[in-house]
Amino acid sequence: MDCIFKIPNGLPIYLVGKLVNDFDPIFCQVCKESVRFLGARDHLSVILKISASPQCDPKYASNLNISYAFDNTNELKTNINWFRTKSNARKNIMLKISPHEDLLQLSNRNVKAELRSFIKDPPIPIIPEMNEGICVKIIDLKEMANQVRSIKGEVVKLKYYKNKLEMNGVEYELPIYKIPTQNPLFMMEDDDEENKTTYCLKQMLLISSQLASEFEPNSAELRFYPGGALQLNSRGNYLSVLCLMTKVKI
Amino acid sequence: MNAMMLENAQMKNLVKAISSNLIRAQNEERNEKDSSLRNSFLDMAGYDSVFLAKLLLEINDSVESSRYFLSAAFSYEKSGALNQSLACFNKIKEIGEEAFITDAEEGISRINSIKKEQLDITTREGKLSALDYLIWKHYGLTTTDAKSYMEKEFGQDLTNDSIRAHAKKLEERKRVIIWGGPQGREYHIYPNIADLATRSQHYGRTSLFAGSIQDRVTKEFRIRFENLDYNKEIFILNSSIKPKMIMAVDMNAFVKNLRVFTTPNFSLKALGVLRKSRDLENNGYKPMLSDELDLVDSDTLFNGLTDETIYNRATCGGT
Repeated sequence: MDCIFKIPNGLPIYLVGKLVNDFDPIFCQVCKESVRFLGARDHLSVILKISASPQCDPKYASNLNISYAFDNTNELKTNINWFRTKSNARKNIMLKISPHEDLLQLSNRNVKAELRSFIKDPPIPIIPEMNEGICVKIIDLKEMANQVRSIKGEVVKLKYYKNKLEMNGVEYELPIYKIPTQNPLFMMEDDDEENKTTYCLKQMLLISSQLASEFEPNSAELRFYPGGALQLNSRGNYLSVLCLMTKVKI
Repeated sequence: MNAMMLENAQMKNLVKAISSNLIRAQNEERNEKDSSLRNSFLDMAGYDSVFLAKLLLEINDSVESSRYFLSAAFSYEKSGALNQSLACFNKIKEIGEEAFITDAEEGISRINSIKKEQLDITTREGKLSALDYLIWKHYGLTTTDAKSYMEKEFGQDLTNDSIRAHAKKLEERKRVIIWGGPQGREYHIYPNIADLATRSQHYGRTSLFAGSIQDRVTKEFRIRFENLDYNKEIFILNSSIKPKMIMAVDMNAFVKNLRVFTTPNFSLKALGVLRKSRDLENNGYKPMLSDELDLVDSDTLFNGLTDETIYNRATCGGT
């Protein structure tokens, strides 16, 4: 049975084109309310989520759960080549995503492409969402990506101190705020600096901030556990990017 | 056939195999020149006895289980598989059935008093025992290492081919696990810890574990963000390993070998540290499994059939 997700442009596939640079394979999971592209490696995992309702028989849609793994080959790059230009991807041309048993069809009035899974029903990496921790609102993701790029060394130190985020000791100049949390671990005085610090790999933070800055989200936040993992989450109208970075043990 | 009937049939077959191998070993006692066959039969009897004892322990028959562990301990002791024997005696102590404790303590004391100088290394079996001793003393011996230690500790100048042949023999007897070879490539020889009566003396040590993927159990672990320092996937190894063992692999190992991890019964060898499943909480994975299981946290994976390296954290892990 045919089932179609319609989205206003090809921006998500442009982002898949970015994922291809850092992840192999690219996983995809289609269910009744979303199409999710995922990448996972030792210290970073990413979910690119398209929220949309499929157009098909509601009974079929409610049971929809198909997984794919796309080999990061030239074939994949060729298939999504048209979308890898940002100007093409941002054009207001309706994109149709149609999931089939072992392939995903992408089409609009200019392109008709098929992404074929190299494994039937592959196991999908589990990428949990961090809902607690210290949360910092990021106003300008591009600026953040530039700041991360300029940091020297392989490891970035992040410190939340007096309502400001410092990266490797450099104060991040953008407006930030703390989201109240119920976890008593984070109910600490501001002068408890060491307990509000964590470390991550610069390369992972750079990949994440660049990816999240590739579209204009309605909100973006950086969330972390003191001494623990880090999450960058940017949300738009129908598209969101969630990047989970592991901590670096110091 | 239900699981209980299958288990009963399996136990009956094991009892038959144990008896048959013990009788064969007895028949070989007459051959004074070469005790290889006798010892092979004893090792097989010991291996099956341990497996049967583990099955009996699963159904809470600790008396019968201790009886078979003791039988295995004696078989192994007689064949010169001292580490296997010691593990059986230790397991009996762990179970704690009073009727068997004295035998176990005496056995442990007897084995601990054996000195390497007592080995008769003029015979083939003596050389085998000497190599076995070295492999359990120095985890992960290469052929070259083994040759050097044989000379240093036993005064035996063996050729590489001879070392390889002895190691292969020990592998056939399930005492060790090898990766590497053939045709001049180095063997890397590790003690077979997975099949011991108890692994309790070996936590924290790096060894090689052979098996295949039975189930993916990553969902049975809850992510603890405060500790998460590595993305991992977690699997149950094949059912012939008792008690069950789980294997944690780095995410890069999983995604780069997706075909391997989705091929039923694909044979693997995993090199890694033996830990308990709860230890993974330090890496951000809190186990929600009903039982605590032993875990191999692997940093190198080999194709079990070809011994080809399919993942090495140091060289192809990346970030």
